Amino acid sequence: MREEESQSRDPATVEEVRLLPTSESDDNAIICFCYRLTAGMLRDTHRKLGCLQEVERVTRAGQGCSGCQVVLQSMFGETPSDTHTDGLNPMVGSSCFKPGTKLMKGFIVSSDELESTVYSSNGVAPALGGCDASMDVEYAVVDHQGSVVLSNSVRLSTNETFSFDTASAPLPKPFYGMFVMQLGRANVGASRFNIFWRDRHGGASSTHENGSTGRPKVWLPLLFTKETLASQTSFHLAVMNPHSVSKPFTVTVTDTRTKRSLVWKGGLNPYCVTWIDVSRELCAPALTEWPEGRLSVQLRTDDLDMYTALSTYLFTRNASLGLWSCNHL
Amino acid sequence: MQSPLIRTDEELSPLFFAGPLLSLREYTTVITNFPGTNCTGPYGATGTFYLDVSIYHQGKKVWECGTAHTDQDGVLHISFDDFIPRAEREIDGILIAEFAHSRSVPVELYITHAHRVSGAYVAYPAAMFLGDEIYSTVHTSEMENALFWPGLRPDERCQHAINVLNPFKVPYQYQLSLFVGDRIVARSEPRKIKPFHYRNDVIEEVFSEHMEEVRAHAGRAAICVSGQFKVLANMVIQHVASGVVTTIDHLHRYILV
Repeated sequence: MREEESQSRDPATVEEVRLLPTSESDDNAIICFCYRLTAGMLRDTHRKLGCLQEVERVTRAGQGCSGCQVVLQSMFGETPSDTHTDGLNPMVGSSCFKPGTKLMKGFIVSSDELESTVYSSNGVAPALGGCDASMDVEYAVVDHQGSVVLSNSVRLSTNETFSFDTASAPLPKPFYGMFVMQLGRANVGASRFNIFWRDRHGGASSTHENGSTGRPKVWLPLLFTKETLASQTSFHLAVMNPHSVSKPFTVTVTDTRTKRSLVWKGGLNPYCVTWIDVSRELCAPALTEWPEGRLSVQLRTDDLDMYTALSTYLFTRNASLGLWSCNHL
Repeated sequence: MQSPLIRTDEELSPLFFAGPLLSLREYTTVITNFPGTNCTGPYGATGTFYLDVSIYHQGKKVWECGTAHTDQDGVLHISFDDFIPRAEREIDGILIAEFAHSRSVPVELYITHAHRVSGAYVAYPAAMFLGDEIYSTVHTSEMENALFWPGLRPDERCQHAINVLNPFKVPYQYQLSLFVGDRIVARSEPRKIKPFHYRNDVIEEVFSEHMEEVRAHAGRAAICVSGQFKVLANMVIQHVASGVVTTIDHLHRYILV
C-alpha cells in the first residue's frame, strides 16, 4: 500500500520531520483530538510498549478520525495502522452514514473546441478503514432540449473512480447538455462528481456538480467595453435548468455610466440548457447603443432561491492561446 | 509544538474564511458573497453583515482591507485592485476573512480571479473554519480532517496541484494519498506548513512514479488529503505552456450532502 516507504527521503522531507516535537516542553500538545491524547501521553506509552501498533491498540490513537496518523508517523517513524480493528470507531454511525439516493447534475459540452469528462469517486474516508461501500450508479445524458439521449448503469467498488467522456460517447457535435448521475447507496461511501472541460491545447477546467442548485442572481465578473470586445477573449454563458418545471430568466445588460439597460427575457424548459455568446449576443448590441458604455451583465431568476434557481456557468476563450476556462457562477 | 484549543461548549465563534491567492500582479482578485437562503435584510451600512479581510504573504500579514459591509441587496464586493497599489501587487499568499453578523446567517464567500492577459476566470469558495479552536462534535461528525478530489486529467499539457492552507496559529501537518482504480497506490511523506502559510503540492511531481498508471486508467484516480485537524485545501489546475491557472476549486468532504 505505501510504496514510497522504500524510497529514499528527499532533504526537504527530512527537514520537516526534524521540526516535530522532541522536547518535554511539547508534552501538553494534543496529538489525537478524538481521544484527547497529548504528545507526552503518547511518548510515555510508546516508551513502555515499544511500538506504535501497541500504542494504537491501548490508547486508540489515530483510530478515530485518523487525522493524527500523519503526526504519529512522524513522531515515531512507524507506519500507523490502515484500518480499524477494535470495532469502536466513533465515526461509523455518524453523519457519514446517510444511506439513500443522491442525484448529481452538471453541464457538459462536446464540440470542435471543447470536450467534457465526468469523474466521480466512490470514496470512503480513511477514518472508515476497509468498509464496503460498493454501490450501483445510474447515469444519463440529456441534450439541450431536455431529452435523454443515452443512459446506463454501472456498479462501483469501494473507492473506485467512475468516468464518462463525451469524446468517446455517441453524441452529435456540437452537443450541449446535462449529465445526471444517481447513486443507489446504502452504506458509508461518499460521492461527488467533477466535470473537466478540456480544449484542444491542453487547457482544462473543472468544477463540481451542483445537485439541483443554482444562484437566483449572478453577475459576470467584469465590465464589458468596446476594448473587451476587441480583445482576444470572448465570454460565453451556459445556463442549465436542472429542475422538472420550466424556469423563466432575465438577462440585463446595464451601462454603468448612464444606468440604461437592455433586457432579454427567456426561459428554459425542464432539464434544458442554452449556450449564450455574451460578447456577440449581449454586449455587441448594447455597445451599438452606447459605444462608450461600461456594461455589467446580470442573469436573474427572480423569486427563486438556490434550491430552485438555474445553474449558470461562465466560459472564457482566449483566441491567441486557444485556451478555455470555465467556472460555475 | 502547540495545538488548537478544544471547545467544549460548542458555541460557534464568528465565522472565519480562508482561501489561496494567486499573484495579484497577474490576476485581478475580487471577494464577493452569496447571502444564503435564509438571509434577510436590512443589509448595507444599517444591516448586520461585516467582513474584515487580511492578506498573509509568507506568514506575515501584509494587507488589511478594513471593514467592509454589504450593499442594500446583501451583496459584498471587494476588489483588491481598489486598495493594493499596482507597484505592490507582486504577492501571493492566503487570505483570511472574519465575518461578523448578529444572527446565524449562512454565508458563502467566494474569491474570484481573472487572468489579466488571457481573461481566464477562476472562482472558488473561501473555506470556512472556526478560528483557532477545534469543535469536537463538528470535528467528529463532519469528518473535517479528510477531503477528496475525483479525477485527474491524463494530459501532460496541464498540471494539477493541491493547495493546502494553514490559517491556524499553530503548525499543521497533512498527507496526500493517490487512489488509482479502487486502491491507494501511494502516500506522500508527511507535509508540514507553518502558521499562515500555504503549500502547493504538484501531483505530477509528488506521485511522479504513478502518473503512467493514472494515464493508463484514463484519469480515473482520486486524491485524498488527510490532515492533523480540519483540512482547508483546493485543487489548482494550470495550463503548462502559458502558466495560466484555469481552475481553483475546493475538495469534497467524505459525507453525502
